[in-house]
Amino acid sequence: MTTTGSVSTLDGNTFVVSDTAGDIDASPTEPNGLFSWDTRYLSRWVLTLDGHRLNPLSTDDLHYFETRFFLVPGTGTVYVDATLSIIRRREVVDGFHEELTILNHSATPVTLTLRLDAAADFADLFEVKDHLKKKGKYYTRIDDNLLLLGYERQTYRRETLINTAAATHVDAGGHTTHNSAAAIDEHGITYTVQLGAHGSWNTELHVGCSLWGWAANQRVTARTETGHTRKDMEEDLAQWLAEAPKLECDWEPLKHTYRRSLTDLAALRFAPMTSGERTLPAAGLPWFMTMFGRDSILTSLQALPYAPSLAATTLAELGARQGSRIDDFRDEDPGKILHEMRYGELTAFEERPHSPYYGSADSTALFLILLDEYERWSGDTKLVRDLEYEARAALGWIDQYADLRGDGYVWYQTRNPDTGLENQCWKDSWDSISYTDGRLPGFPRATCELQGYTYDAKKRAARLARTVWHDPTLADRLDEQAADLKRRFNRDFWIEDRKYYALALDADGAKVDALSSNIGHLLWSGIVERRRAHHIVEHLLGPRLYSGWGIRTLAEGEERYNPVGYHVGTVWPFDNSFIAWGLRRYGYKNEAARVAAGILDAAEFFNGRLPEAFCGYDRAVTKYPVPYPTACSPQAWSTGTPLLLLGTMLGLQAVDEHLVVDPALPVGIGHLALLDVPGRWGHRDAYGRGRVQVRADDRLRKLRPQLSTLQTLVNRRES
Amino acid sequence: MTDATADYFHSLGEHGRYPLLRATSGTIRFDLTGNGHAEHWRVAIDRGHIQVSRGGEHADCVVHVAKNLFDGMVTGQVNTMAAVLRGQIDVEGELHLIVMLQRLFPGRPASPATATRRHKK
Repeated sequence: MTTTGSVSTLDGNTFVVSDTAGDIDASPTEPNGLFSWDTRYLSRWVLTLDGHRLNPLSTDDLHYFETRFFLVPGTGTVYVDATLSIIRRREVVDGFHEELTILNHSATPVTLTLRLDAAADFADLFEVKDHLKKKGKYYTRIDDNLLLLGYERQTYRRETLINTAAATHVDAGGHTTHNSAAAIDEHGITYTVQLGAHGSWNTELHVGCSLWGWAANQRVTARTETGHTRKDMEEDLAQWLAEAPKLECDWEPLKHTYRRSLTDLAALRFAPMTSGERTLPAAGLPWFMTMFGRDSILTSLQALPYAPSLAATTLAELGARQGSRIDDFRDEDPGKILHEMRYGELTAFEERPHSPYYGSADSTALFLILLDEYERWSGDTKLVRDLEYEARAALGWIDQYADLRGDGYVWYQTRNPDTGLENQCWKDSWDSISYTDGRLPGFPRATCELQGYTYDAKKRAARLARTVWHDPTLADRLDEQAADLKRRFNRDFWIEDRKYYALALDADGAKVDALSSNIGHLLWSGIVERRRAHHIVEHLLGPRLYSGWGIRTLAEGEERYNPVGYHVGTVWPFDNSFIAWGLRRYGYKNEAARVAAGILDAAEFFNGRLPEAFCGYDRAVTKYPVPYPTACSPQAWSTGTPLLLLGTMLGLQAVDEHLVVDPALPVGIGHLALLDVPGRWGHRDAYGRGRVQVRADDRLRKLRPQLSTLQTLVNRRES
Repeated sequence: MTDATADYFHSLGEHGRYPLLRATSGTIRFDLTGNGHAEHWRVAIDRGHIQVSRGGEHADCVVHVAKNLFDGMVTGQVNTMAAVLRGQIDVEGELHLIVMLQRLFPGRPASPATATRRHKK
């Protein structure tokens, strides 16, 4: 797929992806369409005027849930007939609405045939992604003002309900007349439009996505319980933006990126079908508009100083779905935090294990990390008390179920070889974990960052046990276990002659020796021995890992390195944001600022919206960051990346009752301030001043705070 | 003849306390149909305490499901959430109650091949 020229309108896990004219013309592999609950409810939605498709003049992205397309008829040549305009306004609010308006700019009345082709393939997102065939049958029904497209497989039934309303004509004198509704056939809707001189014509459509069998013999739309109006959504977005800290900065693109991030984060909020109004971040458009343990947790961490409510919901929801039994098909164990929840047909027929699926080895430790970090910021000890049982169960999972070789490390190996995940770490593609010579290790595997997360989770849980659960015995035991893990990890994972930690241990306990970005997460976790930190930092910012835009997932020179490989050479913004946090943790402020600047600079090329990943080409070669071909955008943890990077540049930390600020800004940012940062202190402002004064003429020359040269600049100033 | 459903409800009521449900309160009625008649089971959850009774009184959440399918749910052969998604279970009222209760149902039984691979402490 390409996202070039595609327009997304979304609300939670209902979203429309179309071309720039607003048309949906899905090929088997294109993720265009109207999607809801992982199912494509419209695969074709094409507007024609007198048999011709329309040309877009502009697209107006009003809110994330509302888009306007300004169209004109084309003649098949470059000539554009400007005597008619068509405005197509769509919203995703409680279903999908589309308003069509035609304006006649000439003094001649016209008769037009406006046609909307509609079809639904009801593909499960997994089918779109993996090109699978459907097993059920389709049906169509036509009623008064209604075109119903249906799909049925045994008891499974999904229906798209397209409702038309009467059209309205307004003549040049402002007189309004109502036309009878449209002609409906099985493949779409046809309007015969009599348009007077300087007249306008207008009609509306509503598309509902329904699931059957939810309640006895009645059809319900997915959002009945949380039905909301457009006004609600506008107010909600305004409030969301108003409650977030205000950014002040002399680098304009950063302000734009910040606002974009906050808005996208609002758009990606998602209420799981069973949680009522509570929302947490879905992972990303188009493939992952659902609850992901890892993604929801990491995004909530990134957003803690801005929108702490996301963390609270994520913890509560993931806790309520914590594993409770052994289920090999779903890789479920008691105490394990879920990987991914899905609602589509393949999940419904247990052809995929996502109801929910538990195949991630890190989300359980990350759950504990978020619980502690959330309490440090918010002071919300009530939630920590409420989740004590879940936290203890999570600790129990780490000790009892994750240690597959019985040697005190967290390992993974799927128990569902057909449809489970091979790699149960964030780099979850099949080839992500390799030796330097390109071989793939056997299973189970213990990747290094899993041990780091586990170390951090135990340290943090020890703090909660001591201060909130009043269980000093548990606290002492966790501290001892963590210290022991750190000691063993530094013995077993360290590759002495290369001065970095192995990517993983293989099934024999031997080192998987590739150099990867995973070592950066070890800094974030604090499992790196202090005397070794400088080696790690040198690798992270050395030429094999650092591209000039960011740190690559896998180092240049590794056999499987590929700058366009999903987890084997691309740069992932979220990965970099946590590495920057890790650099701060070990006192490498300038290096953290350098990583932040590279990624934020890249964000400007993506109009403030960082994709999931971009290519690992050297910055000197491409001059701009090249998007990874099928990257998701917006994607939650990429959306959260600028937020975390702002925090690392300002050195924000919640320490006891205080917000600690310790700024280190990249060259090119003169001042940076976050006003009204919420937390247990109420609201506080955080200010940072650059080490280099930015002059007005630098601004005019549009100098970016690109830090490829920072090292030399800083060295010069400090020498 | 063994009745998986009756066995399950009896043991559910006998055990009584479930920390997994300690934040959950509400009543669920199961209307199980099959062989031309319906049987009703009512589960009252009060902050993790469960009481099981028979009868068709009002409940916050009413689950309509075929008896043989329910036998599968309480023995781990059928995943409750998947069955809801494919329309085999009708749920009226508070969906979250059945979502929480089904966490007590067993997981899918292991196939012999995978069971040996699992590490046991």
